[in-house]
Order: sequence, then C-alpha cells, then structure tokens
Amino acid sequence: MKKVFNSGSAAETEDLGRALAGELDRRSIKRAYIALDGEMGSGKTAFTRGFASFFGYRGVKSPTYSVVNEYKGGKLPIFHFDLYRLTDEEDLYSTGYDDYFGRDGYMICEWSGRIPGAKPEGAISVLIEKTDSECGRRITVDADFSDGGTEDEDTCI
Amino acid sequence: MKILAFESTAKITSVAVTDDLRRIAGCDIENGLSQSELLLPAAEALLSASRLTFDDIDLFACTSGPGSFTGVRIGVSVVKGLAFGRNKPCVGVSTLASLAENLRGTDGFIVPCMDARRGQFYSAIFRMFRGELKRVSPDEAIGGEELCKKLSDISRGRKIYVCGDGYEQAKELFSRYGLKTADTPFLLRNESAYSCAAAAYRMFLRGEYVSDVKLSPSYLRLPQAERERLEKAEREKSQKTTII
Repeated sequence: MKKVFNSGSAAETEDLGRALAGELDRRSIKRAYIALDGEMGSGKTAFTRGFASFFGYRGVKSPTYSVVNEYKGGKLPIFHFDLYRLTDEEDLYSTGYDDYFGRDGYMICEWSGRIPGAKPEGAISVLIEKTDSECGRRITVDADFSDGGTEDEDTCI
Repeated sequence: MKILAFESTAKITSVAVTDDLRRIAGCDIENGLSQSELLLPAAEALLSASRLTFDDIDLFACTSGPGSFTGVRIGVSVVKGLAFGRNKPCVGVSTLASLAENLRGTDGFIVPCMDARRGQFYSAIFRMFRGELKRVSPDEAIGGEELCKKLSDISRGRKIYVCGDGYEQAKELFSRYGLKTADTPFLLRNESAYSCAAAAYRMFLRGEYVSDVKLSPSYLRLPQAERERLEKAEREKSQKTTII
C-alpha cells in the first residue's frame, strides 16, 4: 500500500520515521527491511534518526563511510546501512551486507536503489523527494503489511 | 591424531573433536547468537567434556568458504589464532567439499548447494567413484538456471543428492527442471564440523595442510578492498603504458 506524506522540515521527517517504527512495533513485526532512497541531503538520515529514536537509540549518524552502523541494546537491533560508496553485488557480499538477513531486527538502508538486487522482496520502500519549497519533502511510503490491519488513509503529518 | 574442526560459513555453528575419523565430541548450534560468540565457548566445552585441552590438538581445521563473508572470516581467524604459537598444522576445507562428506557412500551425484543470495548458489558437483569421493566440478558461485543446465549435462538422468543451506530451494529448482533428485535424510543436509574434520583428515594424509600464516579464506568473490586495489593497480599500469 502506497501512502504519500508531506514534510516541511527535518524534524517532521524524523516524526515520520518515528511513526513508521511505531507501526512496526504495534504490529509486532520483528524483522523488516526499509529501503530509503532520495537525493543527497533529502533527509534519509533524519528519517532513520526518528525511526531509531522510537526504540530509544540516540547518536544516529550517516553510515556513508562506515557502510553500516549497528544500534543495539534496545528491544530490537537496527542495522543502518548506506550503499552510497558501494558499486555492485560483490560489494554487498564483501561488506557483510548479506549476512544481516535472517537476523531479528530492522535493516534500514540508505541508497538501497543504487545496487540492483540489494532490496529484498517484501521490503518497505521510503522515497524522499524535494519539493518546490526549500525544506519541503514529499515522502512516499510503500509497505505491504501482511496482516492487512486498518490504517488511516493519507494522514499528513 | 586429534583434530579440532570448526564450521561457521552458513547459519549453523558447528564444532567437532575427532581422533582421525572417530568422533570424540561435537555440537551444532543454531540459536540466533553470532558465531563469533559461539565458536570458542563451544570448543572449550567439548574439549573439557573430553578431558582434553587445546594443547592436545594435533590438527586445526575449518571450512574456509565459500559461504557467509563474516562466517568465513570468523572460522579462519579462530583456527589461525589457535594454531599460532602452538606450531600446529592447519587445514582449510572447501565448505562444499565438507558438505559432500556428509553423503560419502551414496550412489549418485552429490551436489552441495549453499544460498549465495540473489538467485545464486555456491555449488560444486561430486560423485562416488570406485569407493572414493571424487570432485567433478570446481567450487563456484552460479545462477540456478545455469547450475541446472550443467547438472543435466553431467548427471544424464542419474540420481542427484542435494545438501547445504540451499537444500530446499535447490531441490525444488532441480525437480522443476526435470532433474532426478533423491531425498537427502534430514540429518545429512546441514553444514557440519564433523564432515569438515573428516575431510581435513583425508587432506592431511595427502599432505594438503598449511601453517597458520598460509591458511586463507576462499570467498569465490573478491572482497571490495581487494578489487579496488586491483583496479587501482590496473589504472596505474595503463597510465604508465601511455606515458611510455
């Protein structure tokens, strides 16, 4: 199911990340892959910061250089990836990316669209696009929650 | 000869102690904990239950890939660490050759298949020939379709036994392709340190052992850093050629 949200600031983008985390938690979904795409500076890390804050994690930083940051100690771990510096499937293997599947926790992956085959089936897609206003963002969340729970249509934050 | 063998290249974490081919102690763990947390405590427990210590071990072995990038590194590092300073020989066994050991004695083709993600398997073909387990094809990362084609050329209607963590997917794929697969008993499907020890023992007898320094992982895929280094070397080479 696709839903479009509008954000007017980084703080609102964080709120949306927090809301998605809350939704996964409410549905007791213990494993999820969240594909985060959007151009440089669009707020992918802000979204992740909000997402992680729901589980009490602080200090979320962009993993552009480290490739992956792990946030552990909360209810479930979060594996925060950034594929910006990687070029192909071989890189996915040799950075240990493949080894994170099959573990409980949330994989949240910036630039997941850069490498074909990086995004697994059933992933939650989050696309962040800049709008005409300076801080404005259009955020499209595409998620298929299998339990088919009811949701509010087109809630705008 | 006492052998301590580790298998950590797939989901399972497995450790075995053997005396030549005789199993002294072994365990398989799949409990969600990471292999780096499990291997050494498991080895310590098995040795202590057998009234042995690391110093009693004559040969250290592990599966050295293909498999999970992290898992391969953990197994190889543990063996390097244990052999270092004790001056004991090491054997790195192909995970696929170790898996084929599970099915030594069967009458058909033995095709270990590990999940390499994105529609690929790590696989190789083996068969029994005059009472010996023979390798028919090298370890490779191969697409499902291509593997089927290869197998249908080689097996020519003979029975195929599959094992490894890609068992379900591979068996289903092979059947759909019209290959004749046999059911592998459940306990023989998984990666196992006992099979690794058995393969290592046979390799040792053939002189295929190395020092801890020489033991190296075999990924079948080049690590990112290494590829970047090679590409850089290639670029520099081509630049030099232009200058000349």
